[in-house]
Amino acid sequence: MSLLSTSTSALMAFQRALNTTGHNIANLKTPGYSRQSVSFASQGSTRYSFGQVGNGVNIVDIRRDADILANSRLLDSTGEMARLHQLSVSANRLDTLFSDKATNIAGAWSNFFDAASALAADASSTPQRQQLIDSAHALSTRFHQLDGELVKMEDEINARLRASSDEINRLSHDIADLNSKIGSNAAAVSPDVLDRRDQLVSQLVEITGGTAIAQDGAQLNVLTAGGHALVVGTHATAVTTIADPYQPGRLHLAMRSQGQEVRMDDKTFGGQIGGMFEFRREVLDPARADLGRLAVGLSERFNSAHRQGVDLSGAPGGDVFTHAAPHVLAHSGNTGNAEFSAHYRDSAALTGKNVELYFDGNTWNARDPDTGVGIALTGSGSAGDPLRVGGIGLTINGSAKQGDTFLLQPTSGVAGSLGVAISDPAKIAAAAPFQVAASLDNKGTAKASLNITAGAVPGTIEFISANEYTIDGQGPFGFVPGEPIQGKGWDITLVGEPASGDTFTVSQTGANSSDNHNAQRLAGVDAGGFFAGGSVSLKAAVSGLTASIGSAARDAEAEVNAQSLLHSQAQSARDAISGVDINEEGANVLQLQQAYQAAAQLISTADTLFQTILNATRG
Amino acid sequence: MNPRISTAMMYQQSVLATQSKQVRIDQIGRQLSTMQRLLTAKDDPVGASTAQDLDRRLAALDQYGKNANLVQSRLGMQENTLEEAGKVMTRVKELTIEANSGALSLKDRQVIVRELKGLKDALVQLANSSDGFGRYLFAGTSDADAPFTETGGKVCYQGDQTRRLVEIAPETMVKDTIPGSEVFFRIGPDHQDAFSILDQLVDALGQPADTPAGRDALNAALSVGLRDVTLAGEQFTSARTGIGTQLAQIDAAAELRAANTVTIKTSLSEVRDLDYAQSIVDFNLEKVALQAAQSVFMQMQSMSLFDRMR
Repeated sequence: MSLLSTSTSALMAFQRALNTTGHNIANLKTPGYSRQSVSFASQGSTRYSFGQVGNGVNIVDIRRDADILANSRLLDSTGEMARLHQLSVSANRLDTLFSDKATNIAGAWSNFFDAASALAADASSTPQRQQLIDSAHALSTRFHQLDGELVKMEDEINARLRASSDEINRLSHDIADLNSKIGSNAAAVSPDVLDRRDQLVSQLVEITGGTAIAQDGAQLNVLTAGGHALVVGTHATAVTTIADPYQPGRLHLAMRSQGQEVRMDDKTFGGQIGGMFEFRREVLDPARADLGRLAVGLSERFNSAHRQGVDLSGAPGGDVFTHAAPHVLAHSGNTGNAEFSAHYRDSAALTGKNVELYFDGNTWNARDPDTGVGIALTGSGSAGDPLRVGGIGLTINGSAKQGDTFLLQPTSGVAGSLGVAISDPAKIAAAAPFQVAASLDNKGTAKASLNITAGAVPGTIEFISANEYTIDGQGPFGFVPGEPIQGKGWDITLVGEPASGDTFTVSQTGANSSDNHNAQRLAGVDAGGFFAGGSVSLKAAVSGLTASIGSAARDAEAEVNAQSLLHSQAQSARDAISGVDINEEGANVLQLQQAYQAAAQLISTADTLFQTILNATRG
Repeated sequence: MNPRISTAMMYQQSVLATQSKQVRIDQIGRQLSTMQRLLTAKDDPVGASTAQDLDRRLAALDQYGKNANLVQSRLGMQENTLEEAGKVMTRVKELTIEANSGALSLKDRQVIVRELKGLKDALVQLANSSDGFGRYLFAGTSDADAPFTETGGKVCYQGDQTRRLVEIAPETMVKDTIPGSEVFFRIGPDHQDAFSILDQLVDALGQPADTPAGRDALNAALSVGLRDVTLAGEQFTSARTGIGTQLAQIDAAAELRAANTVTIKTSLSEVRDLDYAQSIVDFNLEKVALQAAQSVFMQMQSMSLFDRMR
C-alpha cells in the first residue's frame, strides 16, 4: 500500500463524515430525527520486515444516536400529554360556556325568578304576567342552547373519532410496512428509516396513547394504553368506529379482525382519543345529565307550585313548563320485543346517573352501567305497579328475553325539551284557590286566616255560641281559642273572639283576583331544599353545576401543567442523546475540514515524492 | 460530561418560555380589562359558585326594592284617600254639632242634609278609589270591580277580606292595602258602616221635629250620630296608623336591603374582583420576564459557532 492510497482513504472517509455532519445540520428541525455519527476504524496494516505500516482509515459504521429508554419515556409522555391536553381544551370550552353570563343558566334563571317575585308584588298586572312568561321562554331557550352545545360537542367527538380511526389505520399500516422493510436486522437499514418509524409510532401514540415494544430487536409492536395491539410485526390491526349498542349516535372504536368488529373499551385509550373519551365520560355526560336534572327539577317543581293556585279566570293553574320523559334505550342485541315507557315520579330523588336494566329470565334487575354494582329496583313493571328506581317509574310493553338490557338515562338530554306551556298571561295562577271572609254582620272581633291543605271544598263555619260552631250545618264542634278549626281540606285560625251567630265563609277565589298567595310560592320555588333528600335547592344546583364543570377544567389544567414539565424533561433527555447541536456539528465541520485539508496535502506530498523519484531516474 | 443540549430543543424551550409568559400576560390583561379576577369558573370553582349565588341574591334584593316601591305607592295612595275620608268625617262631625245646636229650623237643617248627602257621595267615591292601573284600592284582592255599590240608597261591599302579603326583603313581609271592609264597615260595637251612619243622620235631620217628642228624638239621633261619626273617624285614623306601620316597615326594609347589598357586594368583590394594584404589578413583572426571555433567546441564537466561522 502507498501513501497515496492511505491519503485517499482518509480523503474519502472525511468527505463522508462531512456529509453526515451536513445531514445532521440539514435535519436540525426534522421532527424525530436522531443525529448520526460516524465511526472510523484504521484500515489495517501491511506487514514489512521492520514492522507494520498502517493503511489509512475506513468508515465502519454510520449510526443514529438513540437510547431506547429515553425514546420510550418520551413516547409515554407524548401519549399522556396528548390525552391531558385534549381533556383540558375540551373542559375549558365547557367551562367558558357555563361561566359566561351570556351563555350560562344563572342569568336567565335569576331573571325568571325575579319576574316571579315581581308578580308577587303585583299579581293582577298583565305586564308582570307577560314578563314571567317571557322570562320562562328565555330560560327554556337557554336550556336548549346549552344542551344543544353539549350535543354539538358529542357530535364533534364522533367526527374526530372517525377521522382518528382513519389516521390510526394509515399510521399502523405505515409502521407495519416499515417493520417488514426493516426485517430482522435493524443494523442493516438506514438510521433515517428507523427515525421515520419512531416518528410514525410517536404520531400514533399521540392519538391512541400506549407504548411501542421492540420484538426480536428489530420489529416494533404498538399497543394501546389498555394493551390492544395496533401493530404486531408486519401486521396492522384495522380500527373502525362502532355505534354504541344503546345510543346509535354515539361512537366508540373497534378492532376489525376476521370480519368481526370487536369494541375496545373507551378506558383502554390514552392520547387524544383517551382525552376525548375521558372528557365525554367524566365531564360532558355528567354535565348533560345535571343540566337535564335541573330542567326537570325546575319544570316539575314550578308546575306543582303553579297547580296549587288559580288563574285570573279562577281556574286551577296548569303546567307552566313541559319536558320530555326519561330516555330508556334498548340494547341493539336484545332479542325480545320489550319496550319501556318511563315517567318522572319524584323529581327530587333524581340523581342523573345512568341505570342499566337487565332481564335475567324471571325478573328485572338494575345495576350501575360502569361498575355493575346492583341498584335497588321495586315494582313489577305493569302500569299499576311500575318498576321504580331513583325517582323514575317504568312500565313495560311487550316481553323481554333473558339477557335483554336497557339503558335508563334519567335526565340526560331532557334540558333540550324544556318548553313553556302557557302563552296567555291570564293563565298564570298567582292567587290561592280559596279565601276566607267573615260576615260583615259578625258581632265578634274574630278575624280568620286560611290554610289550604288538600282536596279543599267551600264551606261555612257558623258559631252557635261563643265556643261552639257548625261546619255547613254539621256539628256542633267545640271551639278552643287559638286552635285551628279543621274544615274540608282547609283549616282556619281565628284571632280575636267570635260571638254567637258569627259566620266565616271559605269560598273559591273568583275571577280577576289580585291575590298573590301562589305567586309568593312560585317566587320561592328555587330557594327551598329539593334534591339530595332536600339538602340541595334548585338555586344551589345551578351554581353547583358551574362549580363542578369549573373544577373539572381546573383539575385538567393542573394535570396538563404538571405533565408538560415531565414532557419537557423527557424531551430534554431524549434530545441530550439524539438531538442535533449546531455547535457540536460546527466543531465537527472544522475538525473534518482540517483533516480533509491535511489528507489532500498528503496526496500532494505523495505526488511530490513520486515526481522527485521520476526526476531522479530521468537522469 | 455535560449533558448535550440540542439546538432545536434550545429554540423550542425559548419559544415555550415566551409563550407561557404571553399566556400569563394575556390572562392578566383580560382580568384588567374586565376588572375581574374570575374569568371562568376554572379560576376558582368554589368562588365562582359563591359569586353566582351572591349575584342571584343581589338581583333578588333589587327586585325586593321594586316590590317595596310598588306596595309603598299603593299604601301611600290608600293613606291619602283615608286622609281625605277623615276630612269628610270631620266635616260631618262639624255639621252634626251644628245641627245639634237646637236653634236651627227645618230649612236650615235641609241645607245641612244637602251637604251631608254630598259628603256621602264623596265618601263612596273615595272608598271606590283606584290605583291608577284599573285596580280598586279598598277591595281586598277582588279589586277588578268597584267594591262599593249603592242599591236603593244602601251601600254594599263587593270586595273580599284578603289582605296580600308582599316580600320586600329576605323573609320580610309587609301587608299590602287594607280591604275596604276593615275601613268603611264594622264601625263601633254595632258593626255599622260609615255610609249608613251618614244615612241615619240625613234621615234624622229630615224629620220635622216640631213637637217636643220630635225634638227629643232628633236630639237623641244626633247624639248617637255624633258618637258614630266619631267612631268612624277613629276607625279611619286607626287604618291610617296601620298603613303608617307598614310604611315604616318598608323604610326599615329599605335600610336592611341597603345594608345587605353592601355586605353582598363586599363579599362579591372579595371573591371575584381584581386587586388592581397587584395586577398591574404582576403585569409589569410578567412583561419584564417576557422581555428577559426574549433577550436571552436573542443572545443565545447569536452564540452559534457558525457565526465565528467566517
